[in-house]
Amino acid sequence: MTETEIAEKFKSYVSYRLPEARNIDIGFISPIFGGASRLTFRIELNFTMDGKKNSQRVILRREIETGIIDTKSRTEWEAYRAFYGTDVPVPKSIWLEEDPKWLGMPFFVMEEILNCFDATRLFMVPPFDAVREKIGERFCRIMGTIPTVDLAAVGIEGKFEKPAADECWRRELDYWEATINKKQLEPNPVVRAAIRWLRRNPPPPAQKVVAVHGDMRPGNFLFNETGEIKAIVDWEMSHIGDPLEDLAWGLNCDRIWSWWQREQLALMAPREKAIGIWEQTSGFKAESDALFWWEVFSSIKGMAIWISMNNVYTTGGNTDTIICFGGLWAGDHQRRLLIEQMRGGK
Amino acid sequence: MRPQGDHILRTVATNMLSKYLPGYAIEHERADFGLMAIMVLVVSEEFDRAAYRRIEENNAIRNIFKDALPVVKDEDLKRRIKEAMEKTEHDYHISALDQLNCELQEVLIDLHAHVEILEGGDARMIEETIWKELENWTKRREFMIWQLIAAMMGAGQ
Repeated sequence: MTETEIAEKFKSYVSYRLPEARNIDIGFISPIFGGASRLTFRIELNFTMDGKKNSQRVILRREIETGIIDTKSRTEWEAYRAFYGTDVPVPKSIWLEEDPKWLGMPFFVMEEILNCFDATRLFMVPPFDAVREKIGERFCRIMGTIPTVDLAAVGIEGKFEKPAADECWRRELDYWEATINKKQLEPNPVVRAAIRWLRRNPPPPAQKVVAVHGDMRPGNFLFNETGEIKAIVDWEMSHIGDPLEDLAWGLNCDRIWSWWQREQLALMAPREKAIGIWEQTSGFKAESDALFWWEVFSSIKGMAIWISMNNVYTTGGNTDTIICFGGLWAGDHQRRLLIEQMRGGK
Repeated sequence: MRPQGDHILRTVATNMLSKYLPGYAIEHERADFGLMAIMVLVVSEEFDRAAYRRIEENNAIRNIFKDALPVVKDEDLKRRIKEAMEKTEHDYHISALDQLNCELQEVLIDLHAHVEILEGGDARMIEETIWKELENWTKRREFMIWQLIAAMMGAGQ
């Protein structure tokens, strides 16, 4: 579906959602490059309501038929709704639509956070290099805040499956191992050895079963030039689980995304400082053996995603160059990290 | 063939990046085109080593099988290892080398899982040999081109 088609169909949808609106117009529609599980568009939506002109900047996220990750719009939508108004900044959600008749696949719409950036490489250059430590501290505090939210109070209790404390690790490992089994195009002996190690050496039960973002990493938060984080985005892998999972994934991904400065969390904060802030904010302990288990697990989850990218590109499901690049680039760095973890330990 | 394939690909990618990339005004189109050039560079790096790394790895895996055979307790695995040891490179097309490489890796995975649960010094020695090979396995799949990209990103700021 082209951008023009999306714009036309979205106009029809808006008139359905806002039957009193008149003069509905799409000022512009622009794809946000790089998504692997959603088609994401930045849209200016104009309309007249009660005689008053309105102009609203929104983000539309539509599921992809051949998405890299098997995730539903509703999951992401529920997470945005749950965290809006809490100390975890997220955009305001507007509409969820699960009927495919409008855009071919389910989608949701939320407000656009303006005048912000998401690229970690900006931390290497002015003016962001001057505020990257401030952003890093804020990122770690938010990462530590997510597991402190009251699941019932924010409304996700009962909407997401809640595993027992001693089952969190197994559920996640089973899921991502099954993904690898389904998507791998070639043998991965290091991945298989690491999975066996994870099963032989399970972590202690979760200190508490909590909300997990599932993809807390560079690229998934929006920051500005003064060092504020205005939103945490990309909640499509959110679930309920072990609080260490987000911390480990953040540390792991940051070692991939900023692999030339591996001990700096996303070029923003030294590893030990990041862990300290997370512990202080969350109230949970990042005991080193347990954290290491979750970091090795993060490499497996990462490999599952990169293998899925390679699969969908090879099989023609998504031939965007970013998918080919992502699978090869991230897969290479993840393999290097995984063998280091397995051979060097912590 | 002269110029050789990897040379052509490097030259094409360099032209894409230096001559044509600056002409893209739309950000996501420029990014996409830049990634295409990078993929061409990735293939140029793989072009020269594709056969070498597979043959080297197949030999390394077969050597492990030879050393491991006396240690293996499972008869079915023993049979599969013997069969795998006898498979050698007759067809040097990358597709054929790759197929053989995958078959040997599958047996290596099963051997690794088997020796992990065996007791004794011999099993530990084989396990360590496999891990050393997995370090090499990882290195053989590394691309140097990412460092060039990082340098380009730094220079482009």
